[in-house]
Amino acid sequence: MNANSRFHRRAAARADRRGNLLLVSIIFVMVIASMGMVMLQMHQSSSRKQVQATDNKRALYIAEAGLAEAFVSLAQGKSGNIGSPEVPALYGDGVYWVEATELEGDEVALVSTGLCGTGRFAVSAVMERQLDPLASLGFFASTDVVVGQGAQIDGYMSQKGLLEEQLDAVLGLVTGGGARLCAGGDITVEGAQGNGVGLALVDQILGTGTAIYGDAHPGPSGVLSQDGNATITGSTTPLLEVPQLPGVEPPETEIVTPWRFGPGGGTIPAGKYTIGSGTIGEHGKLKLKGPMVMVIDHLRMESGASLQIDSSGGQVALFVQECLELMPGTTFESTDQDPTGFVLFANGTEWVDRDGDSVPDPPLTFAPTGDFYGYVYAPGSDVTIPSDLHFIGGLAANSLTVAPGARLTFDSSLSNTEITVASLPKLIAWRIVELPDAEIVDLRKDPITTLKLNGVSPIKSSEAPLDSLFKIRYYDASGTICGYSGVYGDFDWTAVETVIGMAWDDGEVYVSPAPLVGSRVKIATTDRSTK
Amino acid sequence: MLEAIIALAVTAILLGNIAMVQRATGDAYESSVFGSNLQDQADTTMDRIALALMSTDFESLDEVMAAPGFVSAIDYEVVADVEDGEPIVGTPERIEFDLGNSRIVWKRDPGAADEMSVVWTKHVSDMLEGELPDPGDDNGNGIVDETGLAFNADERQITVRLTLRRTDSRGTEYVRTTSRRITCRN
Repeated sequence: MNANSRFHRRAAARADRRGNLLLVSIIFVMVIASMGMVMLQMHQSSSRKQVQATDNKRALYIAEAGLAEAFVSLAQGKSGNIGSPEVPALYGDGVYWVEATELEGDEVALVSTGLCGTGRFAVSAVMERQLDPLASLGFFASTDVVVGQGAQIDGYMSQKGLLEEQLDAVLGLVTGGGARLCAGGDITVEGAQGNGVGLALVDQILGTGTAIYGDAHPGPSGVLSQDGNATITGSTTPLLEVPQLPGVEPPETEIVTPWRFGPGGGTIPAGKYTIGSGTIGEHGKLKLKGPMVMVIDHLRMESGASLQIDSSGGQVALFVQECLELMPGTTFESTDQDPTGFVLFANGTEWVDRDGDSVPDPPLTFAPTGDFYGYVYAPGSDVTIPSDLHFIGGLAANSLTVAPGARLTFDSSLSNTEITVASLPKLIAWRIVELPDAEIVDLRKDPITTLKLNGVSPIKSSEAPLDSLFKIRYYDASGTICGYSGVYGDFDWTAVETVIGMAWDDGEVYVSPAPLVGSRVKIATTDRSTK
Repeated sequence: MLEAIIALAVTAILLGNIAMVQRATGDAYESSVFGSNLQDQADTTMDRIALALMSTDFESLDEVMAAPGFVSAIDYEVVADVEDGEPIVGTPERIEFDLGNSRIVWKRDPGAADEMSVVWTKHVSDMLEGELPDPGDDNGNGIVDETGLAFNADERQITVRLTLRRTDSRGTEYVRTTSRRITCRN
């Protein structure tokens, strides 16, 4: 009975304690689990901070990569716009887009926004398009230059006064300095003329020696050959690089005034003109009054004809698109003797038989006599300066031959004109800016995932510049001039032998003209005093 | 009675084990987190310094010496805008090492009546890691006796070095050092 009673008591006691250990265990497990959760959350929080910091840094560097891409774009003559918030450019694990805004002058504000993971960054750079003065090269040829016997080359500055006032007192007919002769290839300077005495100084004084009173720079791999009795007083170091001579499209002549002139010439007042062709006969005189832009396909001046330039009111820019024939005996008159007042663009490149003798004629015949004041830009032509011409100003051509006895005088004031080629843009200011207001920026999610969900594929960075439309004129392998206008990526570059001119078009900004290497030529057509 | 003693002993052992595990885990975690937080703090501070100096013009930082010299404070102006083709700089700013309080302070318009200052980080070491307060370059980085925050000019870049030093509740000292070369963009 007693044993039975004890058994029942023990059983009742076990029943009271049943589940206690389970409860204690559960409490322990929960405490441990809670601690684990807290630790996990702390760890996650720390990781999130690290990931955010890393993403922000990557976004900054992606935004900087965008600026670099836009810089290259600007250097190529494009607008600088790359991608958009809707369709950005893909770069690494992130995306970016660049918005370019044209500012006053030649400045462009670029704002590049980079997104990577949850990181966002926007940086801005204000760039200034740089234009190297082409005219500062003086008399320049893309290929070779030959200076004939007895030719004399010097220089002066028209801003300081007339040439006559700057002549050297001893040498008499020359200034004795300031010459600038540059070539992309070789420069050959021949010796004194047959009647020279062979002594350089005496020949200089007598005007019979070949002399360059200043610098003569051959191309980077070119050679300067100089006869013993030829004189070069300045530097002969080779150029570091050869500037490209882009083809130049004339500016739009929105207001085209119908104007014709006969063989006798006439006076054309200031304005903008587009003329098919014209011939000035013997003893005819054509007077052009600036400011003027004249675009003419074919201009021929017979022997004895005269072209008078009146640039007292502004620059005269004459674009001859196909053929310019200045026959021997043609003369020029400059009312104010200012080389910066007349710019002649000889854009013709095709050799065509124009006189019916079955022999192709060159696009440029340059054989005037007397004094010529101005700048000649003939990138596709081989120019010979005749013996009886005194060329005052500057020139850029494919090749240049200075005939024996000819005289060239470089006007260094041309360096301050807008006869320029584009070079690399210059950074004005870099700064961190506020993020733009865009949906993809506000959503703090991985941009690539977000774009994918929206069915958008970001463009490859190299294909993202918006200026995908462009125009080009070029020579193919057979020497034929060809043209193309359309999507840049669709153009077959293998057909191109030489680029004549190229222009980008992003639908908003038209950069014209711009050749393959991003060069361009600007002309001042109205106010020469602004630059 | 015997059962109770055995139960208590087992419970005590269990609790002891749990406590030991918890303590060991906690120590390891605290050590890891402490060091990690200090590194984060150093990285965040370095990011702030880098972003501040990026927008400056190197030519304007003429007080920054080249190695083996250094400065522990830098005055700078960031480009705020562009007008007429010229960059416009904003209010002068300063990043300095407050040695007495072992902290880095950023100041806007320093010395002016409306000067604004923000502590970017604390626990900055008196000397950079490895450097001793004796003549010479103890840590072999080319800078002599540099402080816990040191700027020096290198070509057209600024090199920033930073050491944070902190001791936890158990007396363990943690040292984290970071450095960065910053190119001034303007």
